[in-house]
Amino acid sequence: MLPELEIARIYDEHASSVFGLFLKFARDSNDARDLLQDWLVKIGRSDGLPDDLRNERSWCLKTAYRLAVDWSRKKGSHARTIEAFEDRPRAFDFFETENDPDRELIRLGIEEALSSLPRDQQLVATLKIWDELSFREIGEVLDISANTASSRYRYAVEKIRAELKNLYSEICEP
Amino acid sequence: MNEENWKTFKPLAPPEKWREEIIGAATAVRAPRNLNLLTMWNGLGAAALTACWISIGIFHLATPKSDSAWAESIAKRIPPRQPASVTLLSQRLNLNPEYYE
Repeated sequence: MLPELEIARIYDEHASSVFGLFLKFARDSNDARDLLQDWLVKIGRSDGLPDDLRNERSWCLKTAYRLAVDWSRKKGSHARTIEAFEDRPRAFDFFETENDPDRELIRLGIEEALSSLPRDQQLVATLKIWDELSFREIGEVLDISANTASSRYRYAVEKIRAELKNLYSEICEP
Repeated sequence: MNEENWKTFKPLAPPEKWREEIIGAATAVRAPRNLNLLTMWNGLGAAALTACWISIGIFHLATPKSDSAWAESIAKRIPPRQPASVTLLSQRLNLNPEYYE
């Protein structure tokens, strides 16, 4: 069991990344909150972090990913959950809102582009760009090879760029 | 604009008001496994004690309240004895029944 201070430290350092991952699975922010709580309870009950831990963030994301996949399976079949997720309009944001109108427009564009990706590509792109994990670490988190992570990332970035192309030209026009 | 620029957008963090609740829940629920075992033993003990009291209650209800009623109930359960016939008695004792009859 982890001491309370250690639990609080893990929450403060990794809750944002883990929450971001849960938002990719959840139907709404309440689900994401429940998942976040379940994840921290699981961490609190564990005997501590593994001794051979190279990257605490990637270990936290790995435990969170497994929890989210289990949660999806419990909610119905995994495939059905993915379909339901992809069909419905998203009711929450992935990023904080921006004060600058141009940046806000780009933020919305990135969110739109990310939402249009299949979830496996969404996760790889998020873990690489915003959590700054290496492809090897992403592979460990998602139980895929580093090469698969790399190719998913390439597809994701290409798609996001294509989606944002028109928006950029609109904003950059004098 | 490339990935380096996208990185400048900050991912949504969980609301601050959740922090205390979630950490509190994780701290409270991380109750030691021994305690769970203890709870299990307590549960088993309580179940055994309840079963014991129920048995005593059933026995108490099924038992007649006075001595005479008790004797009556016992008497009802024992089949009436048949008087032993001379023939049967003679056979058991290896005697000649004709002599006794």
